[in-house]
Amino acid sequence: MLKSLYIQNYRIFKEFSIENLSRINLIVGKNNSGKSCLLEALYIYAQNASQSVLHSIIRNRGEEWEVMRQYRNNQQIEAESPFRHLFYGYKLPIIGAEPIEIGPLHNPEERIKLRVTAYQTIATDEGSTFTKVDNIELIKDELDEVELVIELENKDFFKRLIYLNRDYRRQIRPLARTDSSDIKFNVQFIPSSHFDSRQASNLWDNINIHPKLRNEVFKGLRLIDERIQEIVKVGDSRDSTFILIYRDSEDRLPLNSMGDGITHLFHIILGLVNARGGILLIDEFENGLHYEVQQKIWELIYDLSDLLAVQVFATTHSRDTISALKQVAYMKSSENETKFIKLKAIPNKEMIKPVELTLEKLKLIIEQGIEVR
Amino acid sequence: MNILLVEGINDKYVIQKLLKRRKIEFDNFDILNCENVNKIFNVLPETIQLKTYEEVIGVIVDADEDISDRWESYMACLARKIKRQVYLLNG
Repeated sequence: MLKSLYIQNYRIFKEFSIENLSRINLIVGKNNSGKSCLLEALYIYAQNASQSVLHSIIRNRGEEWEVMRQYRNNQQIEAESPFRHLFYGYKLPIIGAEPIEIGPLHNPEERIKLRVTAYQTIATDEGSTFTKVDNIELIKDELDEVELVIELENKDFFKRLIYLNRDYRRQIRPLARTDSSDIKFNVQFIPSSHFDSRQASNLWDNINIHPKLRNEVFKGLRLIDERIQEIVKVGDSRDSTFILIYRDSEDRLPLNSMGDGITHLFHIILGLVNARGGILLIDEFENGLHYEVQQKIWELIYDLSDLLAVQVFATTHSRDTISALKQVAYMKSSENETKFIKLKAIPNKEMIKPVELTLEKLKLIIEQGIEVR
Repeated sequence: MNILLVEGINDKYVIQKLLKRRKIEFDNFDILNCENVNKIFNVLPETIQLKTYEEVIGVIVDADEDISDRWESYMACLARKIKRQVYLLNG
């Protein structure tokens, strides 16, 4: 479990830290206060900044539009690399400087770092080698032969992730390939737009082979409709649909036809069960969920995350979500395992700061009718 | 949004009436009954830190005798929690 968090130079965060995290963490804040950035940073950390994670973040935010447009129109690529968006101020830092840094606050050696590095192909007797340029002074005159690379530093391990001067499409093509260095611990990220159907299908296959976990999914779905007996997947991996089967009935209804709430619930459970021993990230918890259901879902999250050792980070704009969490945390006697974090922008300093509240304080403040969002 | 924390429902009514009679508009802030002074001071540091109320957070408390003793320690505690200097204006 992550006990604290430190983020530097990632998107909106120049330097940001949270002293104490809990098993269940609810994050609030106005628009553009960095809630999604915070989840992304955790996602990147858990996957050791694998190329596929970096690319999926860029793609989901639509940040590759410019370069993709130029490719489509057969134009010269003048757009800067979309990966620049990951860095503070949406600009690539100068070589070697201002790395993105993500990890625990209190043990800096556990953090991962992403920095822009220069590489040069140097001809030798046996051919040529691709070598890191340590002294930037040396390359000023021959900048053409230098390649810029986003490099990962993870303890004493270095890995070249993104070749900034090369064809962007080639950079992202081999992304399906991952290796063991790409995982620190399990992580699932439920975006506000839900999983796409291929992702949901994959996650379901992981669960489907475990009868106990399958049952947890069915139990969860019954929170919204207790007549649901089970859910099945039909179709092949590219084109699959989930169908709800009802008890004592011939009804078979596609999940998609049942509204956003049940899909969101299904994805939360899929994510939770697939994040065993790791972290679950939920962007906009309240998405499509009626406030009465929210409390039941928190109950399920408390039970399952305890059972499966999952640390949960959820964002919300909803007062219902906050009070449902408060309610359930006390009901489960888990107030000490629950944290409320508000992100606030400090206008003049262009900084984001967290306000961490214990559940006890949160309860007092809500009871006084004071707005916490 | 601004907020005024008061010690009881009567205080809330008094302030509301006063504002009305003086024809002072108060659409941009809430008057919140916190029941007693302890409850106010229990949540005041966090209410300031949360920054939901960005301009003004007002507090009206009775100046009974027993509070005046504790007033300074409250203020010292507040200053420590919000890491800011707190100035006291005596009316």
